[in-house]
Amino acid sequence: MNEYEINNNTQQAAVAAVPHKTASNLFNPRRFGLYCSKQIHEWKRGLTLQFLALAGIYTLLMFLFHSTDEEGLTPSIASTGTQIIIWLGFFVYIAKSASNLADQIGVRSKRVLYLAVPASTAEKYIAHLLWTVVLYPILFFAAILVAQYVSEVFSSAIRNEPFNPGAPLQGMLTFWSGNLYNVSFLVNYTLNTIVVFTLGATLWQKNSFLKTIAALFLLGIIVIFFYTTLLGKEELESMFTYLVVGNYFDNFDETSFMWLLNGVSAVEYLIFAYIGYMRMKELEINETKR
Amino acid sequence: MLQIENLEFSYHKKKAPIFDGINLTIQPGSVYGLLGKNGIGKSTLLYMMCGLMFPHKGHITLDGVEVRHRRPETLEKIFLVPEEFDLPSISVDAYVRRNSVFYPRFDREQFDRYLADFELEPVKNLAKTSMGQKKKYLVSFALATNTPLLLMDEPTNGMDIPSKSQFRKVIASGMTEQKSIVISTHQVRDLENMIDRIDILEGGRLLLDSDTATITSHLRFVKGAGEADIEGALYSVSTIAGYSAILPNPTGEESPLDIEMLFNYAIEKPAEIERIFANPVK
Repeated sequence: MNEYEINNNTQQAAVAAVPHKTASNLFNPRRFGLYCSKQIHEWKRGLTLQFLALAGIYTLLMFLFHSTDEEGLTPSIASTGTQIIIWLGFFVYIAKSASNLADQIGVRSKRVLYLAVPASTAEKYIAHLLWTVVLYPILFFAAILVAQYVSEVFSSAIRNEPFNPGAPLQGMLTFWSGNLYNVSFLVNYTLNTIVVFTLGATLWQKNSFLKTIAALFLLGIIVIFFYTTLLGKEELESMFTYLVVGNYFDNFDETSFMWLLNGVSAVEYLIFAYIGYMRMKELEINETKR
Repeated sequence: MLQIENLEFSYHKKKAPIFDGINLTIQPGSVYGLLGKNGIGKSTLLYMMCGLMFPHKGHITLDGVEVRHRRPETLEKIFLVPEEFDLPSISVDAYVRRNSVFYPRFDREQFDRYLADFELEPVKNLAKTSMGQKKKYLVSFALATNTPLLLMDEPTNGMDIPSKSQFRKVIASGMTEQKSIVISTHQVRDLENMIDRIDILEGGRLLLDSDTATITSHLRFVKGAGEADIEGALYSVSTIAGYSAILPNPTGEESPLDIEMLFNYAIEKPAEIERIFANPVK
């Protein structure tokens, strides 16, 4: 019997007495699965509430900003205004979800039980990334889907507009499709948001979301200050000329340039993810702060 | 077996260290009472024993593996019942199903028996129970995991008087030769008739690390005694019923251990305690 297999003979959750000693201490797929299952079950109620809240908010927004073309064929979800609201909401939701790691490790009473669960730090960290990359986006778009249909039902019933649920999510996909730059931007920006806000959660456990945003603003100001003050105008111009006007990018076609940006971005979030992991590994209980 | 070697730790560099070269071995088959004043470092020591805090110097190993690495194979041998904790918004049954799989020796029948001992019902939402009830659920779960090392930080805090006696009963029934239980508390009376080793933390070191039989073979505890009976007492207090005192025990006469009095004696006269147990008065 596997180390983590439930013994059905007891009809309950008793587990075989003698574990194998071969299970990896870094990552064990079965233990990882059990850890994920444990988290999902413990968060079930919270996730349901999140789903209902998201669906409710977006139903209201879609109803308020409901717009169709003259023929009534364009679903409201495809309108640019709705798209902006949806995608802005998506990034805020993803960032907030990544920051939620701080909720598990920020309060001492929760951190103790979180750290004491017999799963490796890598498994706990990957589980968090998995939720923010997969679970929360699914939850978000499922809520949008529901909101889209419900708002259409309300609009047709109250405003006597033709019921036109259109093709939910199609609008969102066309918003990004047809342009490789846009798609790569979407993927990179999503992953960057997740790793940056996860790292923020390991750095600041109280008001992690706001502090990470503040840190990003500060970083932006420093970068602008660096370019405008420390680099002289001539240097800026020559750099711009070298990179953009000069020959440097001449050797790059659009695809190569996109992959260069993707590569740089991937290295960036791998570094951030690794720093976040190391922060988690060294996480302790702070007895002086209760 | 948990081994603590030359443990040093300090919260602030300029202040006196919390631990200054502590050595301790936790052997299976014993219930340890970790005693000390508030803020002396009892919880800190427990957190270090399960790898949730890291020593500045020294080593803490469980079966030869440093606990600070928090390897799953180490964590599944330790269960910590913290002083304060949150339980998820799920039923008792779901909690057991989702958490017991991480502990290879978990026994559901034992868990149900402990719940019955505590007169607990399997509630639908653990998060909505009182802190005392949460403690009882977690203590039941902790004992049923059958981890070789069970750490409890102020387990009786939040429990009413009947629950405290149920707690003693549950600990006694859950104890085996393969387990060691370390209970940290400042409510020393709650541990009476339950522990077989006493460790007193004071001034960054272990003032006393001894089994109760050794203590009572070196010291005699008397209650309700007259003034003449306590002549030569090492420590005494006046009560309504007479004097309670600790006397030398040159004859090895058996007497019931009074943990509270021993603790007060140790705190008040640390040098004497160290002298007695380094060179026992016989």
